[in-house]
Amino acid sequence: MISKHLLFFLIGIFLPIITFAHVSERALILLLPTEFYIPAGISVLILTILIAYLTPVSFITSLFSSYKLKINIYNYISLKALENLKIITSCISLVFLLTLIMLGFNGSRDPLANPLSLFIWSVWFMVMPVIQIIFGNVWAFLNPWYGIGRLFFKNKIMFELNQNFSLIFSSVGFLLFSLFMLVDIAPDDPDRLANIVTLYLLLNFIFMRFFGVNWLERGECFTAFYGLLSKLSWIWIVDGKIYIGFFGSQLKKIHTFPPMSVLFLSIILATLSFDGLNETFLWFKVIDVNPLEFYGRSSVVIENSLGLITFAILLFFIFSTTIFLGHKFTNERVSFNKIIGINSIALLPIALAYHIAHYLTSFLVNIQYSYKVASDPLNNGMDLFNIGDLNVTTSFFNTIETVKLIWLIQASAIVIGHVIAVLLAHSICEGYLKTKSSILISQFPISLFMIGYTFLGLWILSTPTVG
Amino acid sequence: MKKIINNISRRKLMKGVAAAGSVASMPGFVRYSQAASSAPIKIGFQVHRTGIGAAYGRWYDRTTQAAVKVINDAGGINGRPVEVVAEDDGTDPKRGAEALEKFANQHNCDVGFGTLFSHVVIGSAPRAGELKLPYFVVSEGHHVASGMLNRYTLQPGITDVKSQVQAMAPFVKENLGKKVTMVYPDFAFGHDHRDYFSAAFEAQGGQIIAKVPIPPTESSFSKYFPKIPRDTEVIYHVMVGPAVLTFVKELGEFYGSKSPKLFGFIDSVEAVDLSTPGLEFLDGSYFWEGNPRYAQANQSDHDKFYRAAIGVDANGASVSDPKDVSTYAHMFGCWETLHIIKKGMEESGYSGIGDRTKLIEAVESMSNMPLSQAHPQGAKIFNGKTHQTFGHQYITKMTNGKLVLAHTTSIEDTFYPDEVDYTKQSF
Repeated sequence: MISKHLLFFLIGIFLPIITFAHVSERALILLLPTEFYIPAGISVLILTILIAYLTPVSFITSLFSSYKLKINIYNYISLKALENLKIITSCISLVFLLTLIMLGFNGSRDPLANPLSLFIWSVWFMVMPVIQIIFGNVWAFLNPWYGIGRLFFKNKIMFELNQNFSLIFSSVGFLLFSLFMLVDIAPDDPDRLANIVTLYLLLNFIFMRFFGVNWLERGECFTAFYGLLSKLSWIWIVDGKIYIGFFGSQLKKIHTFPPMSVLFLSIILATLSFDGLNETFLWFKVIDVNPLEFYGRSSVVIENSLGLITFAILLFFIFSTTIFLGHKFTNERVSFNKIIGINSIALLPIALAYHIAHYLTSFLVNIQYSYKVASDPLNNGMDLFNIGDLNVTTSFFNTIETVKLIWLIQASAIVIGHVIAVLLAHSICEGYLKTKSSILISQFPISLFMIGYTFLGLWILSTPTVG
Repeated sequence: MKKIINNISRRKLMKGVAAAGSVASMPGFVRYSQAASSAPIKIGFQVHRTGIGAAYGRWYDRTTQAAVKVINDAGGINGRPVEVVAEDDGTDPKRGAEALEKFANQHNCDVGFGTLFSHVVIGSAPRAGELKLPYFVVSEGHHVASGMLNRYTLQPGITDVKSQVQAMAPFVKENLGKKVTMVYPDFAFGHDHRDYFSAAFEAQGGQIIAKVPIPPTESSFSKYFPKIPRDTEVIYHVMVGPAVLTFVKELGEFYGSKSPKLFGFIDSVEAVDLSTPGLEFLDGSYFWEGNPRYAQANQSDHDKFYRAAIGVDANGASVSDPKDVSTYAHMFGCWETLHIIKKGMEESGYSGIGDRTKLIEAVESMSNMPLSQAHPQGAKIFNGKTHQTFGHQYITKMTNGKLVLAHTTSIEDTFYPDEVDYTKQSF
């Protein structure tokens, strides 16, 4: 029998949410010697860069080697059965989502007691990216549109979707989502969220009607995002065979990505970085608002919209420039258009690092609310897990020891994400550059970018913030 | 129409109903079984679920749920169960106003209630007036009694900052010193303290020898401490925000053991564990507390009952997690306000939203509120004209990491001349 604690843990993973509150842990963080921690974290990254520079090409190559397991899943389930399974799980996922939408409209008005608010902001946003890295492309089975798409729109493509061009759709989609999450005044309000989710659900069915099931992988921003993340997973499947390898090893077999990937990933990373930067006192200084007298999200709609969009544009140009400059001074001729897409994948581990670092604190609180709601999903007095009047606690933000532990986990995520990104960037270049000297030159600007971005991440974790 | 019973589950509510039914023959429980309507009284709870007030919101929610449970277990209001409809205001005035609209137009709430942060109250109150929705706030702001709001907005369950600050002056002068330096954040919150306290203190014959405003975004304070004159006998500090612990730590490093006496408002360290490293410097210093976090030697039975109902221990922390410190100095306001709504509805014979103005008039006619289960923080005197309550304030001294009661002000210490008469406004 599954113990109560294990159940708590499992539900926590699959059923958490959102608050933008951080209680008082920042006051304690300001007492930590972060002025020593930050250089230590950056030193680790610089050390990694030096190792990548000074070791022979074979070191990185072997690091990104993949290993084939002696298991072929087609021995257990046929390709057709697997496809059917995806259709079934997708349809179950759709029914689940429709139920949540219904509860969004009719359940508790309290976002911390409503299953839709809790589920969307946690599974869709907090947990799903991590699942994609740990377990591979689980989203392929959970995608709520896929089943209906395969059943009704399989051979009804009205317009062929160009893979590169479609990334504009995903980019705009993710940007709109980001604006909703970071700028809208009540993204967690159950009513409002139910309307938005319904609209997004329907829109994608309409797009599938025009562009076929391919729309999901190419134009639907979450499927595109999660698809890319699964390419970083340590486990993947090709023709029924299971492979394992370091994060990003699968990319060895993929030599090109559409150039527009850089736009899409810049928007994703900008979102995950700006959601953190926008709470710092520095940002409040920029927009000339007293952080101790913050009047709430409705007072900074224009400022935060412009901030997010500007940040995304800046990131797009800075990153593209680092790749351009890096390759301009090598002796080898490579087409910028051909290599910018695949190089932009190096932004993904950073994005995931920021994601984990920023949402960890909210997750620790909201996991508890989720547990309560999972025990009484219909808000009618059920107590499935016999938890009684479970009180949500935030005491881990209240003691210096736990705050330090949480901070170190967050900072480690930032540093590890950048370490992986540095190694991945090297590995990607080794795929098309022939000499070590060319690789070194190509990596110099992006190494500086990585160091700067590590600093930004650690600084956001350490500086005074609102909330 | 959406029907939500938030947190207090229907099952528990029915348990309460059953319990009330089984003792229906007892005095005080008769009305429940005789109620003409068993439809719930709906209280729209405007709560800081997200945004900068969320830490307070969590405890306001716990206190509210506990108070409603106590009220329902005792038979509800006018024989009807109480149902809380919680809407998150995001600690944002625009959303606050939207929450009131939902209470009035979507959820058919009888009254609106809740919320702490002044800007949310100030942003919401005009809408309450337009919607003709009684709006009971628990915000401490002087905005109610100052006359800037309207007849539909009342603050009967918590005292306002102006009265709190001025009531500190006699104690500080008599016990701590006559020469005070004020250190405060340089914006409206700090300015209120500066103005209210300096006026009251000088009226007592004391002297404010220096005022040291600190820019709100400051995170390092050592450079401001030399501005504190050497002959300062008392430092009055009201720092807030994430750098507050740094402020205390650096103040301790600056003065060592030879510090002037310190007097502060608990707001700086509300919900903060006082055993946090650096805070030991505060030992021996004095704090205003709206309600003492630690159970005191003279603890009333009502405070005992109140703590037990919410699940708070003698240290002001959650019974289920002793490190989870509550916002004890403020959250009693929710409990008391709900009991005042109950009393107001009972005295006015409230039967539905058509009786909203009768409810307001009933509350306006209240005056003495004795220390009781409904008022565990202490006795109060409500001023129906200004819609503001007045009550005892507590000054505690940090002693070995705990806040020990040093002085209780009289209610009269908190009085100031009326600035408005809302009863003259028409509905």
